[in-house]
Amino acid sequence: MKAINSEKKGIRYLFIRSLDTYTLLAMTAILTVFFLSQNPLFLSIGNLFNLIQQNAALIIVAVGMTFVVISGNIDLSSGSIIVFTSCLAGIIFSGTGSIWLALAACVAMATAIGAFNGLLISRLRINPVIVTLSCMIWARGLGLAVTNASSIPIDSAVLTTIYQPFLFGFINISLVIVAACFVLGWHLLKNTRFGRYTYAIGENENTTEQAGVNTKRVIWVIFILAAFLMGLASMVDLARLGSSIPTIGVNMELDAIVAVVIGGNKLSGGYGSFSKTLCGLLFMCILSNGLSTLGVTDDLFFLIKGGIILAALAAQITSNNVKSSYMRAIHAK
Amino acid sequence: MEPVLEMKGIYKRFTGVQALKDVNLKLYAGEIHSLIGQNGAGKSTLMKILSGNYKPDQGQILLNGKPVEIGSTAEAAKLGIAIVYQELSLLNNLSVAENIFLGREVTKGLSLSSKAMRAKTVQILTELGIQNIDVDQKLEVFPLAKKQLIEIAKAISMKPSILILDEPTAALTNEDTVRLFNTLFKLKEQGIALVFISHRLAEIKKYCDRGTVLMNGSVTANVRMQDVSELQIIESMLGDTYKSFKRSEKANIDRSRPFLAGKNITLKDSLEDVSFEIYAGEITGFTGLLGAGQDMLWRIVYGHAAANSGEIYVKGRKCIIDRPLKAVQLGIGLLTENRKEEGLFESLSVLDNISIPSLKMYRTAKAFPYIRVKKVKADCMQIAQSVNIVMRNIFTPIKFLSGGNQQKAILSRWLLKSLDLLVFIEPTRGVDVGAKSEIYRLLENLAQKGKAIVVVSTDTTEILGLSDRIIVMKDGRIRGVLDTTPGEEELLRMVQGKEAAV
Amino acid sequence: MSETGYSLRNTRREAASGFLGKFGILIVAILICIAFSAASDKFLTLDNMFNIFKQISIVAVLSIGMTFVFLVGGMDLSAGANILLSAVVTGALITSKIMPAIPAMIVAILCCGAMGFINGVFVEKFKINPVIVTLGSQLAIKGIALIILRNYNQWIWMNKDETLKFVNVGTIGPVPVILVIVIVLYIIAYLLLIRTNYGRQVYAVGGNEKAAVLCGLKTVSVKMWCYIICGITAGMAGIIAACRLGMVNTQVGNGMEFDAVTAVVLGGASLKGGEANVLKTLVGAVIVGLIMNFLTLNGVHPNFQKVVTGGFILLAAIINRLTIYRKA
Repeated sequence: MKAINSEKKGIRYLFIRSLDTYTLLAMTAILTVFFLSQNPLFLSIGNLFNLIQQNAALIIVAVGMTFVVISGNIDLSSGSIIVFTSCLAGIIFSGTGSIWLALAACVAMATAIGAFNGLLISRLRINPVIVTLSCMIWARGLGLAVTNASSIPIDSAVLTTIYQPFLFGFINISLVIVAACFVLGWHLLKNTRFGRYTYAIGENENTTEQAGVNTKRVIWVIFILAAFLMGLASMVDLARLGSSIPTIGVNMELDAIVAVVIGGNKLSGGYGSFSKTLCGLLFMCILSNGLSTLGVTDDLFFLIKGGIILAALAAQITSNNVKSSYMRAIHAK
Repeated sequence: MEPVLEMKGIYKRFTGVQALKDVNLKLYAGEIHSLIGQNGAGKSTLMKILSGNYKPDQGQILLNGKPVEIGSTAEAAKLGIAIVYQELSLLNNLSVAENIFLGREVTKGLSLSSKAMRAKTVQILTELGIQNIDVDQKLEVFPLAKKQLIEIAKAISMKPSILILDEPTAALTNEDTVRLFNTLFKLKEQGIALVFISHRLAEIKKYCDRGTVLMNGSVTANVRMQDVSELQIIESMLGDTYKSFKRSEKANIDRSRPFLAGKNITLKDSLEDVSFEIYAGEITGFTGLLGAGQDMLWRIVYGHAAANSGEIYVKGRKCIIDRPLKAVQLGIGLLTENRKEEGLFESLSVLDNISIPSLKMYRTAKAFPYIRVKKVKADCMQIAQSVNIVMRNIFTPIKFLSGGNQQKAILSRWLLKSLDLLVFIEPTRGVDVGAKSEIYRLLENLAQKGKAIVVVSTDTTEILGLSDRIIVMKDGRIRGVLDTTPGEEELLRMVQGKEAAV
Repeated sequence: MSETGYSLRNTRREAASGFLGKFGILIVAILICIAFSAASDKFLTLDNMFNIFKQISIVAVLSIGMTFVFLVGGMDLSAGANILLSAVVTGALITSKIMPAIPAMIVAILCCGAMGFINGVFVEKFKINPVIVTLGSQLAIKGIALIILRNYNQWIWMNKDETLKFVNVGTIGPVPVILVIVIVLYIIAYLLLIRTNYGRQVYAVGGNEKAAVLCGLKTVSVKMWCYIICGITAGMAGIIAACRLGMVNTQVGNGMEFDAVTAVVLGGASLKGGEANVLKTLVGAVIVGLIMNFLTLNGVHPNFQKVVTGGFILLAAIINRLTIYRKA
């Protein structure tokens, strides 16, 4: 390799190398400033805390989604799996009265669905868009059907403790779960073979397979992991709402994928990290939270959120293009 | 001494082509054995049988005297056979160390021991004499030559007893080649049997111990390098075809006005101030090492890639070609070396593949978009027959045709459009020998009809046989323009930068 | 670059799957018809057939546009919202007496075409994954439609208008107007794809975009028009929906993009592009419609119907994978 290019240590290089992150943080800052102007309490500790609490499910799902995206795949079923498992938990609870059984069923069913989807994708080689899209449809339908589209209140002490602060006056079990998932996910991706294979498969599945890696199994596990996390997210939402509400989780799939992609993880695979997901989550949480504190009504909410997401994605792509052409110019052929 | 590996009586057939006929090969430990032959002679096929990608129709493979069946690439690896292809099997988004250990990572419990792997990688590279590589760098920043060395290091780290290298020097400069062979000599000392596939005779003569020559799927010679001359090797490689494909007559070319002229074309790190002229009725050959810039140059002229500066003049008028559409409108057509990714519409029929770019002129009326199918079919059939495309009928999906016929079909696409300048990059890559000569004849005919033809190829034999004029490129510059036909060795030296006694 | 490794064994499989590939779906449709007519002798009557066709007409028309988008390797998940928009715009313009029926319909179609154009811009110019783009634009378009609807108190009654009534129940000769519209649209789409320069370019761009660029085809424009066409067909579907329902509320078009995707996938399309076929999509839409119709008639709850739709897409994809010849 040629001697370290002096350009590389320059400020311009270091800046452009993370241009996509900076663009995202800039947009996040703009949004924050705007929301702050409309609501001076936006950056209060209370509201920031709310931000994380309300989006706990999203954060957990995004952890799994990061693996899916880096491996070059996509998973559209998060919202529906959450709805279905939550309804299932509600039914089991009202039937047996056992909260543990309900929660176990919730997570187990999610994992089972993930295993099913993963098999179709890795073994039968069916396009993940089709598999998870259809899952998105049938799982939600099944959930609505078995509960007749009505909520089932779950009155359980176990659930309330999940949201009871036990440390420093605000840390509760749900936050611990969220933090644990995120940290464990980060470690898994960065420091284990599984994580490395995720990157490799995202770059080129064939080459990775030739190197002796059981790519089919890795992809299968990725989808199982993602679905397991959806089950956890469902559990956390159940605890927050105190009942299973079949209309939650709407747009969760879009939010999770956008959070991961807008942060800078490439949908084509092989590139990204948890720090990027973190930035993406920051953006999405602030966007959702901000819009709801503005008291925006449903229809306008859709329009604005959709519009901002599209605009933000466009900005990200543009900054990515700038970055690639710069990088290409810097490195020799 | 017993051979480490012996292939006996190998036959392999693909639809329509007998790729290998009764091939025998003996490899000894501590020896560099070269596998010599033209494109399409069967070298890659033979090695793919060894690497587990193909199964022979007939024949035996003996490893250390014992017969073996190589059913898959994994099995080949277990048997100690490693192969380094020209298309590298490395992942760009991982670092050097991560690539070398892919699939065999060192772990402490569940976590990766990155430090240990890094240290081992440095050790492997040093043992092979490969220097100046930061093993933590992501692979995408390295140039092709370094990537090849890393790929070899990866193959070596699996401790094979047989290492096959498929055309490793196509992209390398002299210095790189010397470095490569220093590494290979170290391996020789360790007792590994090496197979070196190439059609670069000077290198083969200089570095290899023995060689097997393939022509049209059969072995025509099995010699010790010190016992034969280059000429003798060439004769075994090309047989009669060498004598037969020479241009029948070099035409008188009108050099008063070039059809296309490029001036001062520059692309950072690829091309440096390239200027040239192309004349109608002439076949101009561009050659050089892989990566010397000759294919990049034509992608730029065609509008498929962008240059930093430079001008292009078509028929004397300056033109800005920023996309292929403009090039086609100016009468230029390009066939790339990569027909599978950039040329074929695989799921469509031969008819579609030939006609789609030209459909606009088959409209029933100026404004009405309905196409006159009968006329399209008739015109395409005529062209297909004139280039002798072998197919069941013109509606056959093009993916069912052999490589040579596919190439002819894509060629026909441009013929239907009646263009003035046709550029072919590696026109006979992956084409069997029979179709090859048909394509050469075709190019010659086109030139005689007055079209300007450009052939870009790293195959110096091909360039020598085809071209009226040869332009040699090296490191992004034009090294020389040859009007009279040089000898192959002289051309090769020019391609590699001459001077240094290789 | 090795020679293609086709062995003789493959050619017979090719021949078999070629036939299955082309006619398999038709056979399935016929089998379903036979099964249903065995269950009920009223099934095969002309009246019933017409009725069923009228019911599936909305999805059928939408599937035309979806076929185009799938052909170039994309997807349009905002189509359902686009249908809503079209219905709302038509309804609003007509009931507010801003303009009569036909011009109102044209405006609605143009609006939806514009939405398709916007989708195309984000997918092509900004190179964002079509799934994400259309999931996002689905939100935005739904928002716009709902805002307009808010001014009408979430509900527009449309059964007073004569033109709309004609479309709904009128006939041309013995054939319902809607059926005629659908058939005409499919014929136009078929001819467009098979017998025009543009149509063949769609197949080329979808089959191998790099090669298409090198041939000098205007790939960006070709793909953009596919998204626009999808928007236009969504517009038409929305109008038909408004006519059939006699009113417009917030639920119109909900989930229809998935029915259209099912139809296209059943019709053998590949998500990579270049392998869809309008005629097979039509058969696919008919199958989807027949099954949904059957379920509704037998009192199956709409939620369960969703389960069937989802399962269906999966089934279609699995069958697709198992029968269509792919190079080993």
